[in-house]
Amino acid sequence: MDNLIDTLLNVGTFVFIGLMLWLYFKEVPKENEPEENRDI
Amino acid sequence: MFRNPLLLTALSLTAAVSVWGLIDTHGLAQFAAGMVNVTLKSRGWFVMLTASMMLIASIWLALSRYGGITLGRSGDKPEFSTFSWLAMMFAAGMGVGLLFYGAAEPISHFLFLNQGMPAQDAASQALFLTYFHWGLHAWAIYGLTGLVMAYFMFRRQAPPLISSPVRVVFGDKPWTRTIGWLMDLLAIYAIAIGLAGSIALGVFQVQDGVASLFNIQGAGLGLGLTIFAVLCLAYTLPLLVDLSKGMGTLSNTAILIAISLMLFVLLVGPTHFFMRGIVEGFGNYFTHALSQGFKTYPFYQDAVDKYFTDWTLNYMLWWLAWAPFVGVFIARISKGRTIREFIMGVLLAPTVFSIFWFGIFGGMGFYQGAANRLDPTVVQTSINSTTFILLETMPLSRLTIAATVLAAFLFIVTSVVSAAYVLAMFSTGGDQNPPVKVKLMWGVILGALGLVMILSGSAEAVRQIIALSANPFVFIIIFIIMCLLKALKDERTF
Repeated sequence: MDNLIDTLLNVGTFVFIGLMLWLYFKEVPKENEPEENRDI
Repeated sequence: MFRNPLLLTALSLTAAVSVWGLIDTHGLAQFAAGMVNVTLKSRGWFVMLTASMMLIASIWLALSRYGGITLGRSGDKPEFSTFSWLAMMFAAGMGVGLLFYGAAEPISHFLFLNQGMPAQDAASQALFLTYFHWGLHAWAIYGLTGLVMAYFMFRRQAPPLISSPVRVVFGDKPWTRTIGWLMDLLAIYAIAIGLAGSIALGVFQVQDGVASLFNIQGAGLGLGLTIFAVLCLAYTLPLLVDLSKGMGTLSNTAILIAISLMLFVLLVGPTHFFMRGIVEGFGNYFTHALSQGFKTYPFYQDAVDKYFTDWTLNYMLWWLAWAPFVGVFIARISKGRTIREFIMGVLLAPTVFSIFWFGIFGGMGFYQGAANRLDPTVVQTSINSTTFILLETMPLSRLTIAATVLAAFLFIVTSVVSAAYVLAMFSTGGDQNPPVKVKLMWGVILGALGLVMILSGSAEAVRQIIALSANPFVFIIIFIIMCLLKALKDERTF
């Protein structure tokens, strides 16, 4: 049982790390750029 | 106010924990300890990795081309002088904990390490471990969280909410609204529990200080509850009226008392001994801090594993629990500073001060212990009293104990008032002037939670409850840091 909980908690962590990497590289339409960049 | 679902859910969640604790204090403490044990055993590596990566990311951001970005519009100037900025930041981040653990923590580490190594090495390593717990990693957790908040507040004009980075970077979509709502809720919960724990720890210490000052033998719950009642009265008034400037003065007074205490011990005690320890500590800490952050002790026996979990992992979770509160506070006072200036100030100044603080109080503990004027095992029987027992071995002890009690009291009052303000701001969608009744309500909830933790009667139980509330925050902080790194890609810095 302990091993199962340990595995589940760690798999959750690995999924989270994967999700963060995916979101970081995902292209998002730019809606809110810093104001001074818009002036350039 | 009662049409705000976030506020209602957050109030219900924290009130439920208070009620559970009031009905079955022991049960709550045991539940928290069990949950923390399971999650830290499985995910302790992730907590250490997160703290270390936050430090590395902070240093990288300060040195990279993004370091020159102003937290605000280009041309914005800092609102506070550098000294005030550093003093306020330090008071918010450490406060009462320093007074509480100044001598107790190095002595605790020494007793454990001395079982397996000679006393001289154990003393040096004990100070190093204490610096590690209160140094760069702690401030990287606070600093990077604060940087994310400051960047989105002042450069992207987003409301001061933990969820703002997600909404700004990924847009206003159903998933960002849902995740954002949950993040704000968990942030409110983590702040409430973290601050209530700080109230309880502060009351434990003030109680022992008052008992020591007036020679009260066997002071128990009654004295603790009396101090708690005075504390509640002391923080209610500033919540009713806007005393932001007055609160700054109280906080600065507490810091000045703490600095005076440190200088007193430095000058009255064996100054050359402290300075030798501090110089050695600086070298030891700055050459080994980074690698220590990756140490998770997988090949050691159970006792080492337990010690690592009880101290190092709990500390890292503690800083994570406080990060939303301290982060927002640091962000609010940092408008107009560049990212480089912000990170250098947040990381270096408090770390250097902590090395002096623990080097002096810990060094005094070792010195008096070696001279048989202090029984080091006091940290195992009465950890709260360690600072006072140490001060009793020095001249003017009544004055220094009274000053410590006063500083602890002021630190708690300022923390509760600031926390009630931040909680009210978070729970009203980022309103920078939240209604008095919402602030008051949070003041009451913080008081009730603090009371629960005081009734638990154990600093250890308080630490477990704080660690449990901080658990989800590891993920939230990584999420918002990812948002910052993504947002920085849009900055034109050439």
